Amino acid sequence: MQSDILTVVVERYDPERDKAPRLVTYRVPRQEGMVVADVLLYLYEHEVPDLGFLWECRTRRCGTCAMRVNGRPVLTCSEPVRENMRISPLEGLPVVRDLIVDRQELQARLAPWAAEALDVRGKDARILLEPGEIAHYRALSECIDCFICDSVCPALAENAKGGAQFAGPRRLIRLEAQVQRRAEPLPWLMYAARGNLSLCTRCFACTEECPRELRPAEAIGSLTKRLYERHELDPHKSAHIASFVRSIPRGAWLDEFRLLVDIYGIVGVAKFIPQALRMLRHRKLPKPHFGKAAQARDIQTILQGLDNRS
Amino acid sequence: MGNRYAYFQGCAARQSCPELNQSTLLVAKRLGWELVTLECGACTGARDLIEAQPEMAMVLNARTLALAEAQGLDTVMTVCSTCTITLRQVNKILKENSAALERSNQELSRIGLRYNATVEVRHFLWVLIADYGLDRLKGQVKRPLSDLSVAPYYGCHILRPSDVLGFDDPDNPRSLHNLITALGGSPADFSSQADCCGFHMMTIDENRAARHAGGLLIDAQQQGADVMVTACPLCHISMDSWQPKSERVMKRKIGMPVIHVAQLVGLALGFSPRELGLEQHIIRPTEIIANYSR
Repeated sequence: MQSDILTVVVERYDPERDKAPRLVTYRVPRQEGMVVADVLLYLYEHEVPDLGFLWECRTRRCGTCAMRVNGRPVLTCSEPVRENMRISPLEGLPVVRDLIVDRQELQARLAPWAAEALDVRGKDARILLEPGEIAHYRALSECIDCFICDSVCPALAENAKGGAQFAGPRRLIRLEAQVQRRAEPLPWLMYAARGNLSLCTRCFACTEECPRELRPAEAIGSLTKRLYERHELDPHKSAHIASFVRSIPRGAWLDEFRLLVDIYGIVGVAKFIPQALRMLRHRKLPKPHFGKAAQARDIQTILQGLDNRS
Repeated sequence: MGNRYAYFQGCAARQSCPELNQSTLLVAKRLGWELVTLECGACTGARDLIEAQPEMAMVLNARTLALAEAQGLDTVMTVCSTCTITLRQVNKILKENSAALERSNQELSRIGLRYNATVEVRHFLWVLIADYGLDRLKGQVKRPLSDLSVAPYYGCHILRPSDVLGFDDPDNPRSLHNLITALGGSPADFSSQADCCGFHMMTIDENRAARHAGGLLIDAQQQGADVMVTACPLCHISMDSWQPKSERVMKRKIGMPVIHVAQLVGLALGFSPRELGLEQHIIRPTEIIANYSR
């Protein structure tokens, strides 16, 4: 039988007073149909008037109330309560206080890139949607800016350590929506390319955690395809794809040796000599594929069929 | 269909991780599985083809699945997580979308093949747990891994997206933990166990990928792990083959051995480190080799 009292642990943090987040345990009367946001509201109204958290629409439309419950990012306005749950702020974003994160910090870091987007918008105001695209566009444009996808993105987390800056799934899914919506999508695609979308690790954390099930990782895949077809993709990523396209019809399997030559060129590949010697010593150096695989003719036949069809 | 499986090696186990293939074959034989190697299969195209050339990915993988089906096999067993996600993603489309299946079959008919969408794609780890069973495996353990603290590293493509993979909980995966415990070892929980290894950004930005992988290794090391176990050769390449690069980028020694699931099982079943190819790793698990060679 469920207890009438719910025990919850809240991660509390005041950067002006605390060196590290503190875990504080609270007891809250359980109500039927209670969600995590109800617990926070109860604590705020009855016990912890200085508890920092944000919420707004309470209908899964605004994304403001995104936090982690037992480590998993969720919209607290619709997340059912559970015993001994731990409520923490979204990861990957600076904590302002308690459960409030600074979403503007990410925006600011990508500000120069975002300014270019405004220019693009000015150049291309036409809207043309094919009937079949409408449902898909609507789905993509239902992003509620909850920042959950960005908060779980490992490629975005690497931005803080310097180097090329990855735009992140939240922005890229919106760009894919724009690309689908526009008669002339190239400026939007170029904008995506400048957001270094090839730095996406294909980990699917964003797709797994998106509370609207918008599948940002697949949207990044779609942008990748469009840029590849227009020869506007990052040259290394483009060469990587082309190497698969070349290797498989001939050798059936990816030629790992040739892959590096395709990406870096004969001269560029020289930098891998120490690594190659190490792998050779450990009997792990991939050998270049010579000649055709036994199944090459079958593979070429079915791929030829695809070419004819297109 | 019992214990007969179509074995899909993938590219890495054929080339830069030959010890993965070697240890998988040894373990499968010891457990009484009959593996029918899909020598005539082809690379899945990984994330590259399914994104940039999806039609090519569909028909190539439909061919591989049809080859298994034509031999009367109902499971394609993989040893690479990226092969698993890609084959499962294509198989899901072919099972759920009859028009896509028909399009692929039109091309396959040119080479006398047809796919009826009866095959399942499952990782070696899943077959071991779901078909063979951990209780039964415990009974086969000749040399419990009682002195080993093992970091279970899941990575991405065996967990996410869960509507394609679905064997384990992506937020709290347990399959490797349970396996390590069944073999007598101690799982060393670490916070980045389900994080990405960074392999798929390696050729885009080597330093970024190396730094990322190094962070995971250090996390496992700080939890007292003697060794890390991975379910995917691509994670293995990131964290073993490229570990010297991570050390250079991070300007610190790491020295964390990373081994394959089949090698971990093989050790407990009594195979020697040499038989399992443990000496081939770039970061040699020297203590394991010393302790388990006796």
